[in-house]
Amino acid sequence: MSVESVAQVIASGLLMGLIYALIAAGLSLIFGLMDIVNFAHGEFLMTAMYLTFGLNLLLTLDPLALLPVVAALMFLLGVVIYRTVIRRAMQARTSVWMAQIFVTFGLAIMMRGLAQLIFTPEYRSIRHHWLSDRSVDLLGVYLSLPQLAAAGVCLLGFLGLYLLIARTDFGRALEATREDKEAVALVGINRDLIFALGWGIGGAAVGIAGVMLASFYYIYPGVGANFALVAFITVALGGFGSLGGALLGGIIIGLVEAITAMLVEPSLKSIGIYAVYMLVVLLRPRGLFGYL
Amino acid sequence: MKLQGLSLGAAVLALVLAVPLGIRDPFFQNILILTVLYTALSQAWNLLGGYCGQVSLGQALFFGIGAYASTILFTRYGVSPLAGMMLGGLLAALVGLAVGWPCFRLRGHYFVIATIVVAETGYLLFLNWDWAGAATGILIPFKGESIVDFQFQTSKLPFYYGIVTIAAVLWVFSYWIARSKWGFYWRAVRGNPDAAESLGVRIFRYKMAAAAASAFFTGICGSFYAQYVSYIDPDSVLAFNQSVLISLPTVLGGIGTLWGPALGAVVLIPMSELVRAYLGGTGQGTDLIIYGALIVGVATLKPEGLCGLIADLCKRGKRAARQAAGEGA
Amino acid sequence: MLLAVDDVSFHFGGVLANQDVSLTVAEGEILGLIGPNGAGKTTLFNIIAGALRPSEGRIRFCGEDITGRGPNVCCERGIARTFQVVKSFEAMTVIENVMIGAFCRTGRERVARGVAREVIEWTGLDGRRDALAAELTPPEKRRLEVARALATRPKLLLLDEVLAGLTPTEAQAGVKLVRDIHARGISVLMVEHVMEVLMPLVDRVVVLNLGKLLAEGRPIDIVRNEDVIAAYLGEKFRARA
Repeated sequence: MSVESVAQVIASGLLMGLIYALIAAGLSLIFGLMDIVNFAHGEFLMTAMYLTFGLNLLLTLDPLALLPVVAALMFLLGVVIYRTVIRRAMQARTSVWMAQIFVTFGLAIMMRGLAQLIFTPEYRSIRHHWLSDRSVDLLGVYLSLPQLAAAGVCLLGFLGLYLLIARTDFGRALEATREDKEAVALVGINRDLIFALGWGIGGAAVGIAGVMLASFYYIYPGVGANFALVAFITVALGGFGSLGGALLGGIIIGLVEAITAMLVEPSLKSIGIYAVYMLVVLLRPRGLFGYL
Repeated sequence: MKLQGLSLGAAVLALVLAVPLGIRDPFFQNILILTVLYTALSQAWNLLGGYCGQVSLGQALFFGIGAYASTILFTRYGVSPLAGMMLGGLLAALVGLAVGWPCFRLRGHYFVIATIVVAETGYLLFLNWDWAGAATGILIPFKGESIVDFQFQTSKLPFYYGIVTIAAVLWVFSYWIARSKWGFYWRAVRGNPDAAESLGVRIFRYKMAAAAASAFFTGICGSFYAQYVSYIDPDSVLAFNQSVLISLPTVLGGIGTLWGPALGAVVLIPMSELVRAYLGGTGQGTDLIIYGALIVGVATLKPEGLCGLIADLCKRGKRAARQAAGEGA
Repeated sequence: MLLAVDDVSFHFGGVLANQDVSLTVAEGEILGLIGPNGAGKTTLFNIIAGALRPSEGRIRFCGEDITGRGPNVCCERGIARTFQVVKSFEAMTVIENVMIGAFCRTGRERVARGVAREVIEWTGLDGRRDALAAELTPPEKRRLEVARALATRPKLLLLDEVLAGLTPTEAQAGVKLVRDIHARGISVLMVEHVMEVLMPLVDRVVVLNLGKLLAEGRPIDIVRNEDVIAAYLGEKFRARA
């Protein structure tokens, strides 16, 4: 176990961690805003990946070039899903939270079925892209260029999200709605609009991650489910509703996963993060920065 | 009121027992067996999720434990699957308690996520556990027609009556417990845990009881399934898809109702099997789309499920009958 | 002494919600707990009900130390409570709601149903017995809250602002209910803001201010107490007393 291989593991764990962080951020945003866990979050990611794949096939444009398009489409998807389905579920008379769980669940199943129908269960991968499978050598550590680019874009995406929340009026309205859903109407904040935009941004965030993932990861109908679980664990670790928690959580999860793969064996790499999750549940249920 | 519920149950049972007399085609018999199986599985889910309000999306763990326990006992130690079912159920119940102990401090969607993670951990462990067959799974060799060995090849009927027995027992159990203090307390825990506590309910204890009961019956079903298909592997009994499938009939039929799981299974299972059979390769995924759409439809339009829909229709029918009678008089 | 609160303090996150508060409730007594907002009434209420564990001090009920033992144990021992923001079991009927309370003392459905029927009758909810809790009007829901707590056969009933926001007719009905409860030998501790209704009803009053005990005594003495007038009541009650 040389220094280089340890550094390799840490580097790739860090890169994946940043991608996990952005995926988790979208989830955390929606949850923090309206107390809904989007069980279709993984399928959102899958949708973004398939969109990228499809457009790449049609237009032979690199995923990076497709980024703004897919992000915009994913934003729209988020808003549409909120407007059509989520809003209805929130109005259920009894056990609202159960209706919310199953509505997003049903959506997830539908979206996966649709992907299977349109693209078949075969594994797909992006063929035309600028970075292809090149890697760069950084002090003896080989970093896959697509993965590096993905991590970089995700980090930028995360910073963008942070700036949006912390520095704009919209972000303040978002925070206010999160803190007191009932009171915001009194100060002229259109709650429904905020919710819709929240879903849109959450969709766009996971969309960006999806585009970047598609450039080096296999695309298949079940791909979302795996990442969704990691996202849930990341958010549970970082704390539901906390963006900073999603970032720190994502990095920790990425590292734990990579280290577990190295120490135990690659097929059991998830055991490490499951163990982390159980520890969080036992010792600090609200996560590092969460509100619970 | 009580008599009405029981007599309806008896009538349905009679119908269910008589059905195979009219259906001889093994393909349809298989659909029947799976429908009753998922009725039982979902009814078990309903105990924990519907009545007690603890939505578990990790039931596959108990299904798998039941399947693996009885299979390993049968193939390696010659223990009758009938005993294996009981042992599998008990083992699943113990695991249910062990899992519930840390997880029940979580509420709402936090709990749901915990069940998913726990089940995935189980899946991953079995996938890499060589003694239990790892990814290859375990094949159950046919030793000859036998009730004790619970193996039948010439006809599916014994399997059918076996699963009907399990489902019927579970139905009676659910009927009885829903009317008991346990059932009332479960519904209180679901309705408002803080209020329940202030009224003397020891929430943790009742959640654990629900978990044990639910896991027990799920495990038994897992053992049955193993004997029925004669081959198990992590992908078929422990995967997340299985957990999802187990919860869906109740969500469609009516969470927290006695007949919800049955209604939902009767709609979902035959539909999915037929869609898969007739659309096959090109239509792959269609059954998922229909499932998903039904669930979204129920959750947004009628969270009380098919049972709620039927109750509404009954109410409307009664009102119409009363009006007609009033006008007549 | 039915309930004895000894030197209870409670702090969370640097805020001292209760400081060295002591009070007692005698058997057969109706005690009023009043004070301005932020005085620590709700915190104290929750501590007595077992929902919060005090940072310091003890709660003794019928001679037994029940400090921090949890709401379900307190209920078993004979302390029942209502919630300021009504927490009914929305998907269950009125009688089923009350049965949850009744099940505290029995394991049998038939017995619980009988007890629930009886409580529903004398608390005036008989007409709504089979209605879903979700369909009740707010005053009815509050009454249900009380009925449910009564079904646990408490020795001490803790009422959290049950008379707030009611019309005069509804308030009078509420007062009558409290008097009926009292007549059945159940002691009552009520947190209230509506002075006109509270003062004639209670035997004794405890006043909290800024987390500490400010005054204690008969209603007629409290309304004349200078400190209480300055901190909370104002002059209008003194003139009337």
